[in-house]
Amino acid sequence: MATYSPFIAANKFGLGLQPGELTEIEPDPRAWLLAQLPLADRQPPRYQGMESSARLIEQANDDYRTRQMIQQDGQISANEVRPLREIRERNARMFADQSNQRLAVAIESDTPFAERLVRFWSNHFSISLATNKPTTLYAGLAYENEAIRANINGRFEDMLISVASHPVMLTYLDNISSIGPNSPAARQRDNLGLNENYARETLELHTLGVDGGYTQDDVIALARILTGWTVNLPTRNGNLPNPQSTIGAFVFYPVLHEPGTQQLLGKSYLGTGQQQGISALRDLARHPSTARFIASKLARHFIADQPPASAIDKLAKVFADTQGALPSVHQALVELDEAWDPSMKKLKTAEDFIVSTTRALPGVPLSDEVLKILSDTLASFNQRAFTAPSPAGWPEQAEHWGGPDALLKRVEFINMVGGAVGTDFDAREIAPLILPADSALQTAVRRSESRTQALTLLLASPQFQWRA
Amino acid sequence: MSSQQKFAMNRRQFLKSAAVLTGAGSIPGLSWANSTISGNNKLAVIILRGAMDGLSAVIPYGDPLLASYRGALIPEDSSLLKLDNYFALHPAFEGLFTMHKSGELGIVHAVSSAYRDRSHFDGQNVLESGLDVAMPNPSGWLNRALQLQTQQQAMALGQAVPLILRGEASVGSWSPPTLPAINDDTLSRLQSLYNADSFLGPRLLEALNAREIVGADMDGGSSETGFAALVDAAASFLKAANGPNIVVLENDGWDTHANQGAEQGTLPRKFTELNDSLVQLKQGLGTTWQDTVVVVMTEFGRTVRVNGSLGTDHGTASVAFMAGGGVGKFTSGSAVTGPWPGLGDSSLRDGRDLQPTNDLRQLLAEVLQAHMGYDAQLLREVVFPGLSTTGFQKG
Repeated sequence: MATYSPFIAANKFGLGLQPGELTEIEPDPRAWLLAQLPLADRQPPRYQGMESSARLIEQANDDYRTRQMIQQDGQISANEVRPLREIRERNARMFADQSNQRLAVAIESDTPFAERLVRFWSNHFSISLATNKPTTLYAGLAYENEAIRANINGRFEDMLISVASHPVMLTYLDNISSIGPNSPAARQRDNLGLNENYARETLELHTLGVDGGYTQDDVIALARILTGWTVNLPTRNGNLPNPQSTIGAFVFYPVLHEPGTQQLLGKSYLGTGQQQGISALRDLARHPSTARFIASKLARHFIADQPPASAIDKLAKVFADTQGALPSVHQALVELDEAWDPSMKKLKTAEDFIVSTTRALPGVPLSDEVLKILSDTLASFNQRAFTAPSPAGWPEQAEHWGGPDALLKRVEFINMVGGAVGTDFDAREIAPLILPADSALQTAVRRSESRTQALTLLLASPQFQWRA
Repeated sequence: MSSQQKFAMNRRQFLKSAAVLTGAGSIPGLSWANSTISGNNKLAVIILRGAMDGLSAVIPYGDPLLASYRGALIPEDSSLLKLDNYFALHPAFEGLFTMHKSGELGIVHAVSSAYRDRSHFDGQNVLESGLDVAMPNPSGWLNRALQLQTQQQAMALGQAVPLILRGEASVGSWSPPTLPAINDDTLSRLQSLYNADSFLGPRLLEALNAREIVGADMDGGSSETGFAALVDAAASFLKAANGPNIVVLENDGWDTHANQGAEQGTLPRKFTELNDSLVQLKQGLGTTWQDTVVVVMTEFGRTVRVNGSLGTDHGTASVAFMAGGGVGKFTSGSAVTGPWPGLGDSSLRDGRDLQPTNDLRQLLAEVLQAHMGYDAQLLREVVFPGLSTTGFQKG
């Protein structure tokens, strides 16, 4: 029988305790977590009124085309200086805004477990805006909301299909330039063909896992099946794939689609156009390897870098038994004794660290200036939103986040925070409200030479670096 | 205390802590490898993440089949930096071309790790663990090498320590400082808190040691940013009398699935960056370049054929570069080292990839043995367990 520590509930399942929150959690930490699940698909207030990804992609595409046109002749005329500058400024602002707003949402969240779940899935289906894909530059956050958050209380297969039909993912992993070798488009022009990137990562990173039992032939089959899943933006000849559809939105474009039956994992999928892909993705989502792969990723994120096999088994069983009903899987996570074992801990990622630091300091206003500092710090820790270095997303292991230099930079960041707001806070009062009792830390904080030093010691302490 | 004395003391502390942390001598059945090689020999490893297209880097332009596979990806013939009548360096590699002429660059073609599937993540896992297959949380081969010779010290350039350097031996990491320094009193109070944390404690100590070395040797730091700043730091570390003699750098962005470019474009830009980095490293190292071997490696190669979006998909064999004063001993004397598998349809692996003719570990083992003074048998037992005795095939 596990002990349900409110600190584990808030610091390990959530995004870090806010002073004052403890009394709310203490009576029943598990109930506090479970009550958040139905709210997980709720749009955070900060995101209200945000434009759709289609609109943002259309805008980014326009900006990109304009910029190309201006720069194409190698010289910039006087009347082009201003539009070019405006585009550059918009590029920078839209990129920074997404990172700032996403950070603020985590800091403000009153459903921090639900928000962590959104981020877990967003990282599972990771995208990056820091690639040479200018049309998606404004739409990272919209992707997270539309493909991930909106489906977090549905089934895994719904989220998978939503991701597979999201323009940002299709662009990021090159599916928009994958063309069926026997499609009408390929018959018209040479040098057109498959691009395996998205199909491979769907099998390896999104569903079965690298050891999930697929071959190179399966990668090619899935790539063929997914040809035609693209974005409604003007093609080379200037025409929209579907003039009736929203510009910048997903569209199935039969002209690019590889005709015919495909064999994937030993099963035949008839050439039914888009339906062929939907059937294949549903089967991938329901594959036993997927249940195991997702279970092990959840356990690694919420329990420990090397989670006990028993926890993975239980999660995989719930996933399989409920056909991937995500709320049931999330509930199972809370009900795992292993997750409450105090010997299991996770090192905070850079984002976790910055978010939990700011949550621990209530009253620090989330002004544009403060958000910019936090966001730039996160960037200097190499974890700015939507810039994961690979489609595998941000790593989980303590070895990654706790490199010597990274640790020292955390300490330096806290030193700066302490210098800026240290006199406004009494670390002796905050300590027991955000971390479990620890005599060495309490003593160090109490014996500090100043409030500033006390706050620095508290937040830079090794205790505060762990989700435990 | 003079800064020189302070240094000497830091150096002692560094070694002392490293010895404690590594649990030196605790590997049963092993004696320390011979230490006859002087501590002057330096090693830099550059990992290119994302799988470099070896056939674009070192182009078998003399093969008539090449144009049929990837015509759109081959730069204009007149721009090629021809090494002989079959191979040419990509036009972006002017600096490397100069090094090649003066015997400071070894090019190994058709080389790969033991990994034979096509996942980046498993591919990098195998590349860095030096094992036959991908394993969850293995140690890195370079870390195991450090455990065998405690006089070797390694530094990761970047905040995180990559897998290649993870393991029992203590290693440092460094990236440009961005924030104001902390006062010594706060730092020493924090250190006593960290001493109780067996994971974080040793790492903070490493970081403080690295900061001491580079802080004094770099004269206020590099004016470069991004990867170039790390290359500058690498040179400073390797030159410093009390710095590490091994550095590891990571460079992302090689996964060129779409529009990779022939003479210009994404991949040529990466080539330029790599070329400039190696030139910059040579300049930064000064005379230390003579004692240095730089190994440039990637997790696997890319498809021989261009794909549907003027890029290439995941393949098998690629190219490894070795640069530095002493690379002559690893090369064959011909333009490109290593047997060439050919591009005929039947020679391709799975009908699509360049067939590997060398295990990258054989090359790495030879560098560790001939340049860093490692015992061949220990290399096969500990650093690259199970590596065959066939050795590196030069021709």
